[in-house]
Amino acid sequence: MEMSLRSYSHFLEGDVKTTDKLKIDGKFFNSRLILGTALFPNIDVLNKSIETAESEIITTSVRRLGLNQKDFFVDQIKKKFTLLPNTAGCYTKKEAVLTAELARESMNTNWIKLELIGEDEMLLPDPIELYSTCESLIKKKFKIFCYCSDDPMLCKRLEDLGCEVVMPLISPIGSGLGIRNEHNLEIIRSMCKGLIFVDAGIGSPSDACRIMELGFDGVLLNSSVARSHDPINMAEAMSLAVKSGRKSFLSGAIKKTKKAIASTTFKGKISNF
Amino acid sequence: MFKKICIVNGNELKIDEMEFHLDDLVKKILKDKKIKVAVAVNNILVQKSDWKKKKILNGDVIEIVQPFFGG
Repeated sequence: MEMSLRSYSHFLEGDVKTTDKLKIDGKFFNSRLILGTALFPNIDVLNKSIETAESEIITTSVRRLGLNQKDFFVDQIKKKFTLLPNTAGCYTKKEAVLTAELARESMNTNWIKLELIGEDEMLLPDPIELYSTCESLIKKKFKIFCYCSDDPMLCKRLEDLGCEVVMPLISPIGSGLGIRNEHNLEIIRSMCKGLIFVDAGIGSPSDACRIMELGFDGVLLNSSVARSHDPINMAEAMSLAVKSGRKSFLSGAIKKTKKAIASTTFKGKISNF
Repeated sequence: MFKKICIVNGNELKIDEMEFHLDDLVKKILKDKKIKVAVAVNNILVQKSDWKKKKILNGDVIEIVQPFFGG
């Protein structure tokens, strides 16, 4: 299954194709890298990492207010970003729907990164509960960024249901194992016509680059930057990788062949001897 | 003798006033902090516009949440 701009140009519409901006829910973004804000060693490193990543969208969670709390997340983030709240830690539809509602109320956004976990060792999404929760949240006018497993049919069904962005994992959350089933990713890209990101499992920038080369619309990551030895530099590396992969995809990589194709012409070469 | 006891973010809170509304509770907890929060009472979201009229009852379980770090 060859991935190239020629075969996937239908994903790029009008002005988006010319400027290559990412369009989500009617808003345009230059960056295709969404950065999570958890696990950074300190707030200064987090702020600098968002800067070097050039991310315009950052993820947040919804957590209890400490009754004697002094520092607040929103005050600690230096600049204004588009917030994408998540439902991390939710195991049931009831929990996820209430968390989404609380996120909307506290962050003034209809966007929700829906995480609905089925078990607590691999933190794998529960596809059955997830689908049903999506139905409920769509009725409540949420724009869902749906974290799901890399099952092509599930991704397609979630897209058809009306999820704004479908976001399959490539390996378990925080594992850093990278792409485990590239063929599934190819199938997902060929089946889904809307926005597809990869969320979870990215280990190194080469993973992010490859995902973008496959024609995915963006990458969401957190641990691979925050838990690296140098998050600020790693954030920049991820940003470059996403840009590189995207440019490669748009440029249309050459077809793979089993035999060599000479690059330098034989014409004019001195006689063989 | 307290008039009612409710649970706020997992902590028991004793309330002496007969008429105590959600708006009073949020003000009491936030004090002068300008932070946007969301509130659920007994697992149901209460929108900010309803805080003033939402009376806190004995045994209510209240969650006051905020945006936080997350991936």
